[in-house]
Order: sequence, then C-alpha cells, then structure tokens
Amino acid sequence: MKRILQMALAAGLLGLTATSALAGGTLYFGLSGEPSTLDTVIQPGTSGRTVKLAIHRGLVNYGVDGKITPELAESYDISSDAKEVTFHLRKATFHDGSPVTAADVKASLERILDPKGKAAFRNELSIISKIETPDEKTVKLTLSSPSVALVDYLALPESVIVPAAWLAKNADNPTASPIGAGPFKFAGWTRGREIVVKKYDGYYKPGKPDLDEVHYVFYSDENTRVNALKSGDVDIIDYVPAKDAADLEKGPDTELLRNTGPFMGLQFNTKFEPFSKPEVRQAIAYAVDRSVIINTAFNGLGSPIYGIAIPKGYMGYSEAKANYFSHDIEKAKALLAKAGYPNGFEARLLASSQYSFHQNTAIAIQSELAKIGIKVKLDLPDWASRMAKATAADYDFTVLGSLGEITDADWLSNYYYGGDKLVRTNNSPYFNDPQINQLLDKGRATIDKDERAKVYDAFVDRALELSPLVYFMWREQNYAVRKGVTGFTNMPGFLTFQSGLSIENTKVE
Amino acid sequence: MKTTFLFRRPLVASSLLVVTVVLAIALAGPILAPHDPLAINQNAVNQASSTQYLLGTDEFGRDILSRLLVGIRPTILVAVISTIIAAIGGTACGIAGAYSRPVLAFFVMRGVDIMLSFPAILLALLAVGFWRSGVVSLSVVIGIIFIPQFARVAQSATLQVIRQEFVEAEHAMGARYLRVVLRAILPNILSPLVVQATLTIAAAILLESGLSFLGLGIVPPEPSWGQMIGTARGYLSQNPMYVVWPSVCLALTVLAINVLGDALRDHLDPRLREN
Repeated sequence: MKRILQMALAAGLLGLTATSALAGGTLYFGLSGEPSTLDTVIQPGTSGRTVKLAIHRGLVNYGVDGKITPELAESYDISSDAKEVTFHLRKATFHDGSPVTAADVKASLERILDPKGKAAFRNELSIISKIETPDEKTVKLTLSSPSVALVDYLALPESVIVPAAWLAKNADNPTASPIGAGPFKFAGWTRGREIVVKKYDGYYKPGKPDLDEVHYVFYSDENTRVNALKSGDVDIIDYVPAKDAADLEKGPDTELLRNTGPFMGLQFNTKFEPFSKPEVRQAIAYAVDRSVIINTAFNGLGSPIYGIAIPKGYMGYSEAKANYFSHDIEKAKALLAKAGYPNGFEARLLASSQYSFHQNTAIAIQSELAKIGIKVKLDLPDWASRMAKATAADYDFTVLGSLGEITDADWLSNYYYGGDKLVRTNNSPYFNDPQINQLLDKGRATIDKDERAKVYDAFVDRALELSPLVYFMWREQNYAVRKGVTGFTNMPGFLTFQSGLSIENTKVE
Repeated sequence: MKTTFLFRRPLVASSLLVVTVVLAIALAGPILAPHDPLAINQNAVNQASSTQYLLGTDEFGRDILSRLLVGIRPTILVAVISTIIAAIGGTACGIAGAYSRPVLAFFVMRGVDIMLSFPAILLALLAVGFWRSGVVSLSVVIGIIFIPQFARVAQSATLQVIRQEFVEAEHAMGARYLRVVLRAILPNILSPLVVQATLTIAAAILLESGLSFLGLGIVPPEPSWGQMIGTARGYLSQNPMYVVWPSVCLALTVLAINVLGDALRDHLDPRLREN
C-alpha cells in the first residue's frame, strides 16, 4: 500500500514537472488604458490595437522587422498596373475551428467598405471597387484607381479577417466575444481591470505562441504603471514615461525597449484668422526652440525636427529639406510682422492633462511663443474631451503627438489631404490645397519608384511652403519588460504602436 | 489677558504665526519670489537645492521656492471666497431651517441632508467637470459644497436661541421676521459660525489642493500647491525633495488653521472654557 502511494506520488510529481516544462506560463501586460472597444474596424488607440493583434491576423501584417509579411494570405500578386491584387490564402483556422476562407475575407472587407459603417480606414480602402472569390482560397481585389499603398492599409490591425458567420451574427453587437485567427483566443474582459486571452492551439505558425495566457491589465496612471513593472506585478508595460526611461533601463530587474517612432508638433485650425496665414505658421516653426521641449517635457529624450516628420529612409525624406527651419526668433518676428501681427495675438492651445508629455509640451510651447508676442491660453481637459474637441475642430491650435499609420509614403494623405472631410484627428482643420491634393493622388498611383520619389519631393516643397502642420521633435516610444521576458519587439519607426503583434514570439521565464 | 492666553499655549501661538506668514505670502508672494515662477530653464531641470535655486527646480527647470510662494495665492483666495459663500448661504439655510414655516424648514433641511450624503470630493469632481476650472468657478463650487455644514451648525444654534426670552420679547413687540433674524438671532449664533468658518477654510484648502492634484483645479502653468504635489509624485526617484516642499507647506498650513479653529472654539464656547 505504502509502495503504491509512493509510486503514485512519484508519478504525480513527474507529471507536474512535465507540464511545467511544456507550459509557457502567464504574462501580465500593463496597458496605458482600457480599450474603448475591440471592434476590429475601429482604430481604438494603442492599447486596443495591442489586444487586437493578439486575437486577430490580417491577410498581411507588418512583421517585427517592419516589412509587410504574409499572414492569412500565403502570398499575393499585384498586377503591373497596380489595379488588381490577388491573395492566395493559407490553411488557417479561426478560434472556433472553422477554416479561413475567401468568403470570410470578402465579408470582412465588405464590412470595412460599408458606407454606413464606422471603419477607421474606409476612405483609404474605398478604392477597392470589386471583391471576387474565384475559389475558396483565392481573393481578387480590383481597384478603381491604381494604388501602391493598398497592401499597407490591409496590413493594419483595422483590416484583420474575422469569420463571415460570426459577422452575420455579431456585426452590430459591440459586446460580443471576438473570434479571430490570431495566436490567442479571447477569454474574458473584466471591465475596469483586464482582458485575458488564452493560447490558441490551432494557430497556423507551428510552435507559436509560447505563452499559455496573457493578461492585459489596465493602468491609466503612468506612475502606477511604472511601479507595477518595478514591483513585478506586470511583465511588460507600454508608454514608458520619459522621466522613468533611464531608471528602467538601468535595471537590474527591468529592460527598456527603445524606439523613436512618433513625432510631436502642432495642428492649426485654419479657420482661426492668424493661423489661416502660412507666414504665421512658419513663424511658429521658427520661434520654438526644440531643445526646450525635449529637455523639459521629455527629460532630454528625443531628437529635433526642423522640416516635415518623415523618418530617415522613408520615401520623401531628404537631408536638404530636413533642415528647412531653424530656431530663429528674429525671422519669426519678421514673418509675424509680414502677416500683419507685429505685436502678436492671443490663441487657445488644446492639449490634455491626462498624458503629462502632452501637457508639458503645451507648457513649453506656451513659454516659447511668448517670446514672439503670441499669448497662449492652455486648454487641458482629459483625453476623451480632448479628442471630442479635436473632432469638432473646437480649438485654435492643438498639440499633435502621432505618427504615420503605414510605412508607405501615402501615410501623408491622412495629414495633408483636403477632400470632403476637412476635420480629422490628424489634419489641420479646413486646410485644403488643390496642389497638395493632386500631388498626393499622383504619388499614390505612381508605380515606378524613382518617378514616385520625385512626386513626394515636390509635395515636401509645397508642404513646407504652406506648413499646415509644424513639427518639433521625434519622441521616444518605449516599452519596458522585466528581465526574463524575451521575444517582445518594439517594432521599428512608425510601427511601434503595432508592437503588440510580437506577443506571438514572447516568452517568459 | 490675550497675550497670557497665547503664551500659555505655545501650539496656538506657533499656529497663529504660521497662518500670519501664509497670509502675508498670499498677499506679497510675487514680490518675494526670487525667480519668475513660470520661467523655464531647460538647462536646470530637476535640480536639487543650490544657492541659485534654494529649494531646487521642477521638471521645467522652474524655481520651486518661487512657485511655492506664488502658488499659495490661488489656494487661499479660493478657500476664503468659498468659505464666505458657504457661510452666507449656509447660515441663511440654517436659520430658515430652524425659524420659518415648518414646510419650508423641512425642505431646506432635507436638501441639506441630501447634499451631506455625498462625499465633497465627488460633488466637486462632478461640478468641475461641467465648468472650466479657475479661481472663480472653483470658489463657487467649493462654496456651495460646504453650505450644508454651515446650515447644520446654524440650525442647531438657532433652535437654541429662538426659545430665549429676548427673542420672545422681540416677538411681543411685534418685530418683523427679518428684524428678529438680524437683531436677535444672528448675533447670538455667531460664535459657532466663526469656528465653523476656520474649519471650512482648512477643508476648502484641502479640497482645492485635491482637485489641483487630480489636474482639475488651477490650470497650469500657474502653480498651486496641490498641483505641484500631483506633478512631483512622478519625479520621486529623480528629485525626491520636489514632493516634500509643497506637501510640508500644505500640511503645516492646514494643521495651523485647524489648531487655531480648535483654540477659538475653546475660547468662545463657555461650556468648554476651563476657568
């Protein structure tokens, strides 16, 4: 009897060690906010995207190296006139076990293109004029005008593929449990606390993911978030505040994953009289000492921008035009005088008290503009009110802290294109220049790389001349992890906000 | 007589000193400040105490001492104005609640009870959410929030007074309502109200600081103590003294006003007086 018991105990112990060797464990991810929704077609901000990229995959996605990687599509062909794209689907399954078919792709894309829908990138994707499904594993898209950028937009977390059957039932139900074909399946959402996802064993990449379970815990207060990482309550945090970066990099228990992706600048309401004049906007570009913002609001982390925020290596970047502006108060004053405001004017600057770097950037700009006679009044509501005011163009100018959504040069359209929707999150309200619109249209449709570079070169000239947006600096967008967490990647350049994708490679000791 | 009273109680004497100094700074702060409290110095961010910056600098390289000296004014202003609003409104409600038609008294005092059942900070958050924050709106909001406390005190004091002979005498002489209130009731309920006022000032300072701490009070870059504590909280590891200075100042001020309030109550309330 005793022997049997011993054997049973030994077997039990063996079993225990065996499972723990196989198990990837649980990871706690400290998010800077609770997603407003997990609806795939809405751009919910970084925290929502991080969760979406654990649950879903698109036809293609940006990979950890920054390049477009085939995901649910095994491969794709673009016709030579850039008016047809054909995707060949791989053998993959959704979390309910059903295979990913051409019909699912069609249903997902049609939902994005629905003019009554809320899809964030409907404008950009609406050049898709026809979706054909010649067989179960092939999808052919026909475009109304050629676009080189289409595949980039399909790589966004807002273009992921969901089952057609699920859509038929849940398209209008914002609280339905999401189903995707990503590495993790949705397990639960405790409002105000966390979203939990569990490993999906049928994921199409063999051996991935490693983790059994990921808890996305909401920490909207940046100090609490940093402390949660330091004390070991969480294993990864996003939005590392600049003031804590050095401390977390030093360790010894933590590591900093650095990246300079987003830029800080200003959007101008061009209906507000002084800001309707390009000279005034240029004057502001000359007046602000970039190092004041970097050293105060960002604790010395970041690099200045004296032109348009096009990262080095991206199309449109040129060394010569990167230093179009300089810090020159005399020139700023001369430009103001030329515009008819030798004594300056008063203006309201919208920012938010919820993110200290937004508020502190506003305070630094306020003090810099006082030097050329522009009296700035700060409006610092919480983030949701700030966004509401931005979408209603209820500001004179506002602090812009963002990045290009895609790595293709067409990201500029979102910031500079006029068109029929003149108040957007990222543009300068009511700015609409026919020449810029035409250049952006041409750039999107030009296939030849050298030809295309010329178009964007001309665009940059015009954009600098009119300066509807003024840029000050690249900010660091850092993640921090506990020692022992490997495989999580802060994705390069503009893609930092899509780093959540790399959770499929993440391991924890 | 007055001086011996103070010398026998050193705590009260030092509290009086603190309050006097705080009031003097609230009046003369901008003149005393060694630096411009809004002047950004990007080369002196988060510095510890030095001869140039006696209490160090904040995340913008601004002088913490200057910001402390200037930052008390909006807080004191809000506290004083809101206390005046609360005192006038609360006393009127309280007297009405004790000395008017029963139906009116009932509704006034139940209204007061309802307001008392909400935490002050919750009401303040709600109200500040609707209006732009600033000295005027904060004063009004905090003033209204503290009306119930005054109303309670005024009501119980009035209930005691209206049974006294001199009120009866006014009635007998055919005095009008307002005359009874102003000539007979108000002077005789004044002392508990004065004590309540000191306590309210302290509470209003704390409430304003709490709102500023949460980023809903005085709008940056203008400094206020609560807001400085709120910001400094994020810089504990780089500049630990940054959070200490405004916290100590705030704690000392509130403590001093409360001690003075207690002393005043002991002095004015005959039942608590020792001799």
